[in-house]
Amino acid sequence: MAPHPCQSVQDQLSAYLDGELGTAERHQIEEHLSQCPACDAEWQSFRQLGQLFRESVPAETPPPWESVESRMLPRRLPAGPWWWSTTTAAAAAIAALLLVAVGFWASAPKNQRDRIAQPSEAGQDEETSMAGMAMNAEHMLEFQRTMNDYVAKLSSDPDQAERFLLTKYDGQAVSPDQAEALVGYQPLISRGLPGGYELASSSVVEMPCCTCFKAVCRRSDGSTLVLFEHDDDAAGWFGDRNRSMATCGDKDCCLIELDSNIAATWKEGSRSITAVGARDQGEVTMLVNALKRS
Amino acid sequence: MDPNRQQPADSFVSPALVQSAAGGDRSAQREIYERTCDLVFRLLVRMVGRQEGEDLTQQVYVQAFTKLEQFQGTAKFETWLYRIARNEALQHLRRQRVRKTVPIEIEPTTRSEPTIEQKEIAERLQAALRQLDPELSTIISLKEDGGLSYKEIAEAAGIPEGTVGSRLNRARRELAKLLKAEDR
Repeated sequence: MAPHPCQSVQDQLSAYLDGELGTAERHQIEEHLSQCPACDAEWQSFRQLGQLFRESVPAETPPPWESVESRMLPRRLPAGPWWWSTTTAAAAAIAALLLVAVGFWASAPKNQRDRIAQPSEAGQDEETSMAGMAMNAEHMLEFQRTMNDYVAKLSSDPDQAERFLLTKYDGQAVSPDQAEALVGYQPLISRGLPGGYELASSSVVEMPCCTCFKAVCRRSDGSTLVLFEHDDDAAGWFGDRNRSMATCGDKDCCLIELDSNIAATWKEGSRSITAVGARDQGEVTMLVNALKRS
Repeated sequence: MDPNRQQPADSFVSPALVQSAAGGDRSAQREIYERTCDLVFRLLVRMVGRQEGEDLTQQVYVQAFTKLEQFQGTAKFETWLYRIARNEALQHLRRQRVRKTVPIEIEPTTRSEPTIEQKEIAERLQAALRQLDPELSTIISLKEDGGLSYKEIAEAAGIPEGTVGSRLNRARRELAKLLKAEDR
C-alpha cells in the first residue's frame, strides 16, 4: 500500500527544509504543501524554529583561550617526539592512579575494601563506585586538571579558587568542629592554628579521591595557605609537576613545585596533610611540627 | 594522522594545524580553539546552560588536545570535535541526574546586552531545549546553529545518516510543542 501522502511528506519535512532532497522529491513536496494546509502549517512551524535559533544566538562569548590553557597539564620540555610526551603523561597518570588506588584501598575500612573488591552492582550509584578505587586514568587526568586550575586561581584570586573547588566538588562550608560528623574524625586544626595564621574558612569537599577537610588560612600579611586533611596520599593531585622528597621535622615530606610557591604532603597518623601555597621547606617544617597529633 | 591527507572541504582546520597541535604546539592549539570555539560553546550552552557551558567548553578542548593523535582525518576536524562536545555534555547531564534534579535556570548574560525581545526569545528557547531529550537537542543545535549536513550530524552524533531526518522531525515537533505550551 502506498503511504498516505501527508505521512510521506511529513516524514521528509526536515530533509526538505534542510536541503537534503533531490529535485524530484522537492517538487513533489512543494506541490503537496501548496494543497495541504495541515502539512504546510507544520512546515511553517519548522521554519519558524530556525528563525528562533537565528534570533537567539547566545550573546555571551566563549571563554578565553587562557582559561583552557590553564587547565592543560604543564607542557613538557621537548625531549622527544610528541607521542613520547603523550605516552609518558599517560604512564604518569596510570602510576599516580595506582598509588592513589593502593593508598585508598589500604586506608579504607574493611567493609569498604570488601565492597571495592567486588564488581560494581547494576544500578549502583556511579559516583559512589567511581569515588575511591575505580578512578580511571581519564578521571585522574580530569582531577589533575582541576587541581591545576585551582592552583593557578589560588595565586591570583584565592576567594575565586575556593568557590571554584567548592562548586566543582560539592563542598560544604562547615566549622572544624562540625566537620567531624562529615569526615569521621576531628580535624587536626580544630586544636588551633600556629601563630601568625588565622582561619579564613573551612569546608568539607567531596574530592574524587576522597572526602577532604579543607582549611583556608590567612597569614598576617594577607596571603593564603590551604591545608587539606585527607585519607589518600595525594600522589596524583598535582600531575607531573616537579617533586622531591625532603625531611621536614621528623616527617618525610613530598614537596611539589607549583607556579610561584610549593605544595607539601606528609602523613600524620593514618591520614595525610597537604599544604598548598607554602613558601618554602622551612614553612612546611613549621607546619609539620605544629600539626602533630600529640 | 597523515598530514598529507586531504581534509574534507570547508574545514577551518587544516591537517598541518592538527599535526602541530598534536605535537603540543600551543599556538596551533590556540588557533584551532579560536577557529572552532564559537559553535562548540553555543552547542554546549544549548545543552547545559551558560555557566556549565563555559566549564564544559574548557573540558572539551583539554580532552581534544589530549587525544588529538586519535583523530584519523577521515572526517572534518570540527565534526570530531562536536562529537567530543556532545559526549561531554551527555556525560555531564547524566552525572547531574545522579546527583540531583537541577531546576531550569535562565542564567544572566555577561557580554554585549541583547535587546529585551532577543533575551526573551533566547530564554524561551533555552528552557524548551533543556526539556528536550539531550540527544535531540544536540542534533537540532548542530543543524540550526552549526548548519551541519546530515552526514556530518550523523558522524558527530554517532548515529546512522538515514536516521538524522527522522530525529530532526521529532526534535522540531517536540520543540514546537514545548514552545507552544509555554505560550499558553
